[in-house]
Amino acid sequence: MTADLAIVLVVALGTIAMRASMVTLLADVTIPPRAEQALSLVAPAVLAGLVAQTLFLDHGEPRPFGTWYLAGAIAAVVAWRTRSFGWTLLAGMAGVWLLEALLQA
Amino acid sequence: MSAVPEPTRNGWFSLADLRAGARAILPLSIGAFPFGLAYGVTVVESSMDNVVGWLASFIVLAGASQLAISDLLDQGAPWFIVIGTALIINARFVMYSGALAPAFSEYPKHWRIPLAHFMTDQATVTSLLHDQRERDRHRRFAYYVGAGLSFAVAWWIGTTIGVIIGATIPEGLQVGFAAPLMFIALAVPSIRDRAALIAAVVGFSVTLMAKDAPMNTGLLIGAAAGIAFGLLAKTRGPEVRDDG
Repeated sequence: MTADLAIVLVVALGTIAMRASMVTLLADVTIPPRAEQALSLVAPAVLAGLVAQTLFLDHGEPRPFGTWYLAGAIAAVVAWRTRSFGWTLLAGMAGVWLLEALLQA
Repeated sequence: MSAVPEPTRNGWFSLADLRAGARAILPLSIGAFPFGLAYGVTVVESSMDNVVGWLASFIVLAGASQLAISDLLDQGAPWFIVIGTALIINARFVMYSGALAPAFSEYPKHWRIPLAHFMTDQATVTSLLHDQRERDRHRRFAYYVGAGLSFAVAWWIGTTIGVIIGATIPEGLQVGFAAPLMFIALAVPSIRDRAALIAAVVGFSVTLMAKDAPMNTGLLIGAAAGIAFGLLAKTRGPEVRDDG
């Protein structure tokens, strides 16, 4: 409990520091262009890595092929075509439920 | 109250814009609910302390890093890897903070810092889309606050219910799928150019390849590789673009 709490507190403090960083400092400092480019790549690199970890791996081991992969592919196509969070989440959840139902029928 | 700036033409803080932000983010807030449930289930099923996992929703307020913390603690990763991975995942907030800085610029620091806490992926993306149509910084800020606060409330409700009923949620509901689904929904729109595509493809592939990396550093290695290759593409991009 104590160790978990300490870890979460440190992450919370670090995260608020990063969130508050530019909204409090940017008036006086300019980010170097190279750093700005690197920052703009953080979201796609990290989020794609998170997709790899949560969809393609299951507790560090390759996830067997199944409905999650297919529903994930449907969601990715919908996200790409619509750029809408709402439609992506709807298509993904509907996809996984339908595929599960089909496989059990 | 004497420190409060003078009202502008649109008022110092517009409740109408606050409501507009909350309305715009509503589909995402609904999406936060299954994701919140999935997080709650993950915490309950992991070796992470349930109360601490629940508290993280309030004080960290960033689902991706919260899932990573829970996952890494469950795998017995050392504390510095857990903290390092979570902070790397959240490093994108520095970029978001820069993008949202104009909207914050008219407000005193004792407003900016606490309200920066609500800077989620969803609130940021919603606000930046709106900023393209809205020039008034006060109205932008109110819109951001409306989006950020309402999304956070949805996340808190979802994770609270998830932690409470986590063990009883039927497997058939597939709430666990909400986590990768949310990351797909966030990752795809973040790919705006060739460099971002390369960063995503490399980040994805290297994370998979590095799955057996010591101390669960796979995501850190994958993200670093993705950013490095994306930067290379940005440097070389204009020259190769003609050939492609």
